[in-house]
Amino acid sequence: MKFAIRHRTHYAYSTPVRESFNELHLQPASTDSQTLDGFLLKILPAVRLQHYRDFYLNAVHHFEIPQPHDSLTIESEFQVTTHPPAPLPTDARPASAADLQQAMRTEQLYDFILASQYTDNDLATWKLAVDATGGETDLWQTALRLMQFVHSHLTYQSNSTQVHTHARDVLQHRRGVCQDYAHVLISLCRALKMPARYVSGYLATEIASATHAWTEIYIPGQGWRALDPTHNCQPGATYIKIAIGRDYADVAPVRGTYRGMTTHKMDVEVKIEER
Amino acid sequence: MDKAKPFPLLADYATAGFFDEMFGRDGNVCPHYHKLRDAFTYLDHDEFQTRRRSVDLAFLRQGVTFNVYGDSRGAERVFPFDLVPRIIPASEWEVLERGLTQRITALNLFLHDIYHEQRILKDGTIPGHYVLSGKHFRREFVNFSVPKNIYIHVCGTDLIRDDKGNYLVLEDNGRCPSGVSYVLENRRAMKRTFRGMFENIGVRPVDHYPQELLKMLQFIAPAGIPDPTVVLLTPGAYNSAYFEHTYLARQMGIEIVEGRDLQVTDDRVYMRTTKGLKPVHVIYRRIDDDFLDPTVFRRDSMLGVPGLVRAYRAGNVSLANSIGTGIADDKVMYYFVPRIIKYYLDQEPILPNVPTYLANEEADLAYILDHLDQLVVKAANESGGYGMLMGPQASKAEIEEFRQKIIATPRNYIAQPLIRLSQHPTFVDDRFEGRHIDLRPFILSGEKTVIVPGGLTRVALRKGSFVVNSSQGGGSKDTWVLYGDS
Repeated sequence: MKFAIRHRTHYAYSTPVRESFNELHLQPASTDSQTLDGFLLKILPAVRLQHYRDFYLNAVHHFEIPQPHDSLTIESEFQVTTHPPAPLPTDARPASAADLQQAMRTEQLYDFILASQYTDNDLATWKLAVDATGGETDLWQTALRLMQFVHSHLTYQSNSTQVHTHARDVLQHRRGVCQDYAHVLISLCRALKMPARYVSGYLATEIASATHAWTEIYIPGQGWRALDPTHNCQPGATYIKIAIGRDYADVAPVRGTYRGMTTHKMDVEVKIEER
Repeated sequence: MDKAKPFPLLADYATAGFFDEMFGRDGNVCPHYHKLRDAFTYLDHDEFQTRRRSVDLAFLRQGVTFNVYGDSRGAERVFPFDLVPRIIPASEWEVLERGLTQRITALNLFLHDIYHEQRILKDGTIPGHYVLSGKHFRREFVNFSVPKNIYIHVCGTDLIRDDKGNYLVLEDNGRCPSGVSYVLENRRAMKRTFRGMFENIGVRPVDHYPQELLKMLQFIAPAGIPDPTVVLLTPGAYNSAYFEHTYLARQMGIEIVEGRDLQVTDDRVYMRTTKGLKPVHVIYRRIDDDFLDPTVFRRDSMLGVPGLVRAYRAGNVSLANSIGTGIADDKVMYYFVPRIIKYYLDQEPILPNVPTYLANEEADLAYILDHLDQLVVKAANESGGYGMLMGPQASKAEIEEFRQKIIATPRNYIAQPLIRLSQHPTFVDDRFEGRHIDLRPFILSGEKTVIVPGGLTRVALRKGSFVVNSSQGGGSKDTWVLYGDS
């Protein structure tokens, strides 16, 4: 499928701020499952944009605004073509924990089985994961059961959490949004030593929604397989991927600092159209 | 001179079965201490006390102090100084110098590799997960090339001697090692107190350290800047090493700044001065990575400079030390340093490590848990003697507490046998007693590797204690490296 997407974030400050420094994870990746056909980033006040690739090869743009300003607009506009791999059958049994041992030698996986800023890897999480999977030995089947568990264990509730809510607190209150669902699924997978990573992106079917987040699980022989615990499904052609990381902290769309004693108001607008 | 009492103050001194720096293995004063002995021969108890008091007073007056965290008795304290110098003969220092140069060369190559091709991880010489799980591995700087490929510009490597007198490396401090100001001040105090003695004995000077440091900092400046501006960035007066920051800045004749004194505009760093903004090219930063730039690292940091990392990436400012060197300090990496030396230099380590067990390896873990009462356990990323268990001296409760911690996060712990550190005659409570010591030489990596002869000798002032950290009741001595062997 082909999409045109516009993602606009607007900050209004009650009094002018200065020396604003920002890093953006907004440019979608070109991967096996999608092709980026065009990308444009507009910042107001006008800035000189620079970019680099981070450790997970995501594109990061950064800029500074030294002079006083009372608003900031960050707008990305891009066209993308999605061509996701065929979903893995839900009764497939492609790999066991023993196969993972071999794959773990590839050091890039190690980052994704440790606890991270918003996920836990403690005994309580492990117990929850073991109870939810009931001795299943196949990794794919285990992942599906964990996704099913997260989907039914949590209740989707907008504004029940913040961007900095930890998976531990989500599990305690059993409410959250897509980001929290992804963090909990990541925690459970990692508790069982299954590599899991966070994906930030967009979901085209959710009209009026902002961004979306889901999870990828590493299955030996299959590579990274996407699972969306919020909708209890395997992401397809309507999912557009921006960046991957250990959790939200690695891929926050906008992060930055400024000088000034002020309150700010933030508006986010995402518009997705099929082309 | 009474031969039985080589100098009267040492009349009933006992070596108590430890390796003694002054008396060696056989109980006779070692040749490299002969001249000191002769100089001290005519010093009686009262005379010694008088000189000691004058030094203490001078230190206090000049503000040679350090801060102790978690102590309510006022922030600043004088670092206790012992008048009897520790002496290293030329031939011994020559080996130490070669060993330290070898080590820092290998560590800099290692850092370049793990932030670029990661050859040492890919071929399995070091399991990749040990690096990737390191608290101070900076993913943000993979594939970033630092100026002149130097990562650790200033390294403080702690050396100890065991009960046979062998030198061993205890740890490398490749982030912001402190203590060099005491090396310089201790020497000045000794020179004032014992005039003329240095020339007679043939002690190598240390007072060129600030010039060497400045030379190195200027060397790493961005290309094309003929007269680079260098500043020292401090977290401020509440930092335990604030005295040292002001001291070094003054000695080098450079500005000392806090984060709020700097600003970044258009990827360039400027210092706010009364005459407006002044460009800055090199920052000798004495604050940790985490606090450098709130845009990239800890957002709650009030100490750093927003945008600094951006200017660094753009190549408009150089930092010493570079970002991400903390991974080489990680005590788990320490375990691998002999392998690192072999790997990059194809040489055997000149200075060996202390035997080390990694709690993350199953066989080692079992051994550690079975021998907690005999081992020294250290947290992988702590320093200053914090987060440590001295097994042989610990209570049952302390041992149990560490057992649980190690089981919970084995990656964060290493263990070592307790090394019976060498001792040195030290003036305590009106008499001389043996107290355990270590040595922290300061290694500068610039155009070439420069090590000012000696370093900071720290002494554990509590009787029987092996912990020399200033925050844990340690003091220091002047360290003399001789031009010859006696």
